[in-house]
Amino acid sequence: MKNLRAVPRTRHGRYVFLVLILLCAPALNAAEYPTKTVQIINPFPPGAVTDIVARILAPKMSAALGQPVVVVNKPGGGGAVGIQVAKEAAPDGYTILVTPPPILLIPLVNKNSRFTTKDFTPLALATSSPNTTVVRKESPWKTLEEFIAEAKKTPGQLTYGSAGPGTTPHFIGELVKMKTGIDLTHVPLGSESAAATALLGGHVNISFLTLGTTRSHIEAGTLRALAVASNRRLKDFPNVPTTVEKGFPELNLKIWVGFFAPAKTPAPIVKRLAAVISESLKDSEVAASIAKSQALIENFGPQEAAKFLAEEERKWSEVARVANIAH
Amino acid sequence: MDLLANVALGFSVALTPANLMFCFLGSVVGTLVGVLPGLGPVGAVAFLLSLTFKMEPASAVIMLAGIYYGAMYGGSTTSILVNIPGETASVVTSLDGYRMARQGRAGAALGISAFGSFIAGTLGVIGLMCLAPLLGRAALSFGPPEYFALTVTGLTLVSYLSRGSMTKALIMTTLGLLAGTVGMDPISGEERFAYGILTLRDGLGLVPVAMGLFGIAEVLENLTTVGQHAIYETKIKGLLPNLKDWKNSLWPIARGSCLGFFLGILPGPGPVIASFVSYAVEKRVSRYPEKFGTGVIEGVAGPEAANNAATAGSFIPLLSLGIPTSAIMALFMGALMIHGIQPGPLFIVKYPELFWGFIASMYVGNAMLLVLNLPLIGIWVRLLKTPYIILFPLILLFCLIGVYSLNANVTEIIIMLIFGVLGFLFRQVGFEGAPFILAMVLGPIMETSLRQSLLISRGNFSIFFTRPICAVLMVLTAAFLVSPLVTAKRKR
Amino acid sequence: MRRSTIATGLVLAGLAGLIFFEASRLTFGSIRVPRTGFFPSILAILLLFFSIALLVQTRRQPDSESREEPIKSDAWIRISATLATMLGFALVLETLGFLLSTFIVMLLLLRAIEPQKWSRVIALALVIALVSYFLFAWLLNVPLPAGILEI
Repeated sequence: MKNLRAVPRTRHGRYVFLVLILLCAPALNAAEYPTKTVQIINPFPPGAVTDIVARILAPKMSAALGQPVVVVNKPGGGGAVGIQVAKEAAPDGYTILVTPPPILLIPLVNKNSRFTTKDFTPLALATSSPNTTVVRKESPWKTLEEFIAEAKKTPGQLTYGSAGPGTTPHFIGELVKMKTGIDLTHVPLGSESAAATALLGGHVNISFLTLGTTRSHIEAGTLRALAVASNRRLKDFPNVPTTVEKGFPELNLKIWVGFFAPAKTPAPIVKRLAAVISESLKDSEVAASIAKSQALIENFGPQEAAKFLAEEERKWSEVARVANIAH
Repeated sequence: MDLLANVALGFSVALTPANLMFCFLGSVVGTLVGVLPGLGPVGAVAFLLSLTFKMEPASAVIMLAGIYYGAMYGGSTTSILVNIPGETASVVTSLDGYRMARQGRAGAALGISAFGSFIAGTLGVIGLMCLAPLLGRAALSFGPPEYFALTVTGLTLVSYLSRGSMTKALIMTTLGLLAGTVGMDPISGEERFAYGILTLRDGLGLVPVAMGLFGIAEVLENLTTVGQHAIYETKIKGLLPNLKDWKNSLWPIARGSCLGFFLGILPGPGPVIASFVSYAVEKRVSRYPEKFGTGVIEGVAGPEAANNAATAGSFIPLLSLGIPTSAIMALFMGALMIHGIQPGPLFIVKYPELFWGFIASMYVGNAMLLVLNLPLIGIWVRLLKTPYIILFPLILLFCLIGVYSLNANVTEIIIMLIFGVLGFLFRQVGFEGAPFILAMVLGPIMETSLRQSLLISRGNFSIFFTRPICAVLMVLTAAFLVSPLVTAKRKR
Repeated sequence: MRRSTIATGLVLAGLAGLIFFEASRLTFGSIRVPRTGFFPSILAILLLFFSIALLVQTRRQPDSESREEPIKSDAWIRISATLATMLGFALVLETLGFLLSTFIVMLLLLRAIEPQKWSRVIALALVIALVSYFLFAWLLNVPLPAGILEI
């Protein structure tokens, strides 16, 4: 009898112990975190701005965490593939995501998207790059007003190039249409550089691209910047007016790069990672490298980033609704 | 004189011991990467990009460029030896190259591809040096309508790619075009034929499909006859091309170099298209077109030259305009940006030592690759004597790892296997893979450029005939289509 | 040859129908402004046309070419075993990790293609797994899945 009863009891005890361990697991992890390599998933190809920012930060983060930090590229679907991989990763702080606005824009465009921003906790908004409104050198428009006047005379005749449906240049184009009351025809070209190429060749009339893409052309004079999205004029381009000056404060847009963790990541780990990213961004070597890569450091912490992102989401949902972008 | 001074400046940068070493390192790694199936230049440059962050900018681009053209050199090796395209640009090489290998002429095929690559690479660099700024601007005149016209011309090449029934080739072309429509519609962002599979949203990858249709299918086919008869002619006929081979290859190499260089400048998969075009041209001008596909050296020399010249050409838009025209050029741009150098219209003026050093290093690299590849031929040819019980599993393993390494995506392995089975079945009923691949490359460009053009012209089709480049291409297409009829009549 | 060509033609015609049905569920747009379904629909019709052409041609032709030899059943087994092994590799790679999966897949592939001594197979598979790990992970810096071995 004794023996017979003993067996189930031990088994039972084992279960209780297992459950206890499982319950404690997050807490245990947080105390010891990190004990292995931390992966940063970049949902874009190597060489993209997210890749560059993540790779600049990785060594500093690694030094602070005492474990290797590696960047893993999971490109595809305009960012959807990698973002979804990050969403499905275990929320243990060993897989985090680096991404620009598409994390927010893809769910607005694609009703079947299997993630939303709610699946993630922001860790930091690391950097940003201002948006520029550019036309080709040979075009007749010298100022934003001239372009708007022409577009009003010929509704739907002028074209703007974007990096594809649901990308930032597309959303910005639609926002510009909403705020200025002009009608432009959207031509999706596949990538920012393809949009720049088509613009340089005169195949489209105007584009709204990041400074990273257009900078060298503005410097060389092959593209003319009608406006730059910024509060103040840029140090390097004192002659380019800002969207705020032109009376369109809503068009003060930045293309940010943020770090995210899966939503259920324990709070202590989120705090630790956010602190590490924030510290790394303050490093002078990092600052120099990021400045070289044509980006500006923002360094928003989790709360600040969440607030900013909520505002972004509100703005872009409005654009998606008015322009009827979703399908 | 200016040019001479610049070239001298370039060599003074390229010939420093450190840069020579990086150039050599890049070439070796590139060759290795090219030989390994699947893992193409894009992957290799991507993985090794982070190593260059601590280097001098010139050394960084010199090493990465070495990897790129090294991979283009090496890519033909597995195409010729085991019918597995090391990268997509060498799909065409396998058509005749692999046949040559089975006839015991692997040495000649590998030799002509190394020499052809060297000659084309060198001519390409000369072109790059003299014409970069001029041609960069010319590339800009290619807008969506021009691309559409180009793809229409490109599809007529199908008639030169098949050996058997034309109907079967047309079926494969249509299937290839259909395969190209899988994934996110680039104009509206809607999903097509993806059925909720995330990987398919981005479309079928060219590399997994090509490796399945050619490599896996080839091994599967060989498995049906294992032990019955030898796959390769055991007697090896020479390790290098003989005089007759050279005589036959000289013009194809020259033509391939020019074609490749100019097609390489255009955004998109330049080297792949260049190799297909060169093959078609060689078959068209040949006195024995019916022999193409049975192991004709011209079918190796031309396309190999074309894809290597295209490598040089593809740098032009990046270096003269700051426009990355392909994934690999975007990587180069990233490598430069991390050092705070932004390629653009002012690049050559602002960073002369970088530009000219880079160009000079391409000469050096090409020479190194030739020296590196010629002795390797002997080793490769001997590798074919590996017993099949080891060779086949190894080939399959490298295909598996190679495809996985592209995007760290298991689904792509499964795609490769599915296309392996399809390719095997297609072979059993006499359908060929080359038209499928060509159509799959051209299809998406054709569809998007057609729809972009119509958006720009507001639905007006005249846009395809009124623009000068379009008009020329359309006339060319008509000529291509009519000319076989004319020759056929004359024969009668 | 003739029978298999006819079968292929019929399969392709069926496929064309299926694709056309699937494409018809996408928005077609118009000739002036073609939308998502435009290109695939046209291709499906072309495919149907070509498959019918193939069937007609084959019917007209006398059965001249014949396959040299039908595939033997042991070859089919070999092929299926090889494919199953490779599919297995795809499925276990990310859980078992690179080294272990490569070792196992080589074991099975070597055996699938020709039965040979286990000792030899194990030694070969081990060497190949280690060399390929060195080549890809160490030399080429390729990120490979670590899996349960955590290496």
